[in-house]
Amino acid sequence: MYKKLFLPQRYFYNNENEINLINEGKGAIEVIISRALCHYKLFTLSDIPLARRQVVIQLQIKQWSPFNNYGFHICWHQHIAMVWIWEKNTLEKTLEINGLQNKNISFYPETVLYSRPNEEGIQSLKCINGIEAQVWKNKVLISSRWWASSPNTSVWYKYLRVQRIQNTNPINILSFDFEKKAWGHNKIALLLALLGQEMMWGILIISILLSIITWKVIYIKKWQQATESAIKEVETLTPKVQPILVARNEVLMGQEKIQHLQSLNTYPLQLDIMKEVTIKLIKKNIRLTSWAYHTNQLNFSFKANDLDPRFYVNKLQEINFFTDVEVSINKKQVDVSTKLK
Amino acid sequence: MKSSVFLDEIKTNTRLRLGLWLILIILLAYAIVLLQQYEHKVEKNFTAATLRLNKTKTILNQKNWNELANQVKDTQIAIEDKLWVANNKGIALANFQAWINAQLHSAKIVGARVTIESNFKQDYKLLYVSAKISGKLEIKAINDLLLALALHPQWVIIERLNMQKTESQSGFSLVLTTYFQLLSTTK
Repeated sequence: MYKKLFLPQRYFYNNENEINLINEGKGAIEVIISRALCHYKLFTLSDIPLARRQVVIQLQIKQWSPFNNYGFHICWHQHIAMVWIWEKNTLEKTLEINGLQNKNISFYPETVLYSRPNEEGIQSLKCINGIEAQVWKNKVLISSRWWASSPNTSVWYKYLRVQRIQNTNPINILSFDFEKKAWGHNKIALLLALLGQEMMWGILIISILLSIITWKVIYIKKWQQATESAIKEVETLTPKVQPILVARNEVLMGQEKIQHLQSLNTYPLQLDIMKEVTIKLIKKNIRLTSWAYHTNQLNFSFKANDLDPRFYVNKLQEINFFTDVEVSINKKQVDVSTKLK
Repeated sequence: MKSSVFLDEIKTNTRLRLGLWLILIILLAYAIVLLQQYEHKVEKNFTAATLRLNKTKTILNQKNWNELANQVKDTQIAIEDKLWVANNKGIALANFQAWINAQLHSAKIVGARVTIESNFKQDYKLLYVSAKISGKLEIKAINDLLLALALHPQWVIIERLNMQKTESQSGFSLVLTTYFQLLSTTK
């Protein structure tokens, strides 16, 4: 039961245009065309580019075909096409009679279902209808000839001579059962060759892209591992650092507060300023008449006998607290204007 | 059946195949772009984590923060000692007024006018109190007053000082500022 599910449902189309079921499978439908109904020819397409071969072979088959409506089967071996063709009108009518029209059917010439010899040379096969002689070279079927019955000796030797085969053995007809699969490659082989080229480039590009992706993933993984390691180390060190951080914050906040409080009282005491002024000018016997201090601006005046402003500027500039000392003298009164540092 | 039809179509239709290749390549290229963006993010995280680690290690090597904290605390206490202390604003103003009156009396300054103003500074919660004093200028008396201001353990900052002694007019005006630390939360 299991086998039947996958075995092809196989029919044989004989030389009397009859279709007979020869294998009751549940798989794909295959119709084997009797060798008696097939014509065989070998085509060499070595000069044709791979991409064009499928089109060219079809044109060549059309030129060669003796039928208007024909079916064909191609087996590709490198640049060589082994081609079988058969008349299709009668076949289609027969299929219709047997209820096989409009079905997805694969057609095979009888030859491709017999096993292919491993050795080069000639072999004769017993077909379902008649006899087929085959000449093989490098796994290519060089020649195929069919007779309705076994050829007599003269016909056989004539065929050998035509094929330039040095063989004096009499005809030895072999008999085989049908293989499960046809030998050789049909058009898929050509397509696969084309696909192979395409696939090669595609796979190359995709491999490069996949390599980049793999490299990136590994790279990211390593970064992540390094990051996790650093985070773990930080987490381990944090309890040890915490008290230091608290102390540091206390220092920074404390320093800020100290700076703020110190900024509230930056200028020297008025008494100290007065003392310094008095010390510097004591010899000049001066008498203060006014003192005006506002934040860091100080203006004061005094009466004096010495009226050289350079003396007062030089002396007062010696006081550390003062900057931008300016002196003006008017009627024995000296007016001083300065700023506190 | 459908899949075999699709496969046959792929095998025979070059444009379809090229389209599929293109889609695949675009998807992979897009994945690379996404990975590139993610890689930047991961690198950024790593840089941040490393910086944090280095910072932590640096801090760990700084053993003198506790010592510094003590020093700063001592300095802070010393400076805070320079501030006046009161329970609340009313007490602060009254204390300052009383202290000024006492100093004027002590310096024998008679008939001086005293005006007190206050303002609360939100930063560090300090009450700023200023007093404007004006009166007749007596040199010795004003010297005594200035000396008293200078010697007071808490800050009494002279913002303005005007003194004038001429034959026609004689007088002084003084603007003092002090800072109070308020012990209660109300201003």
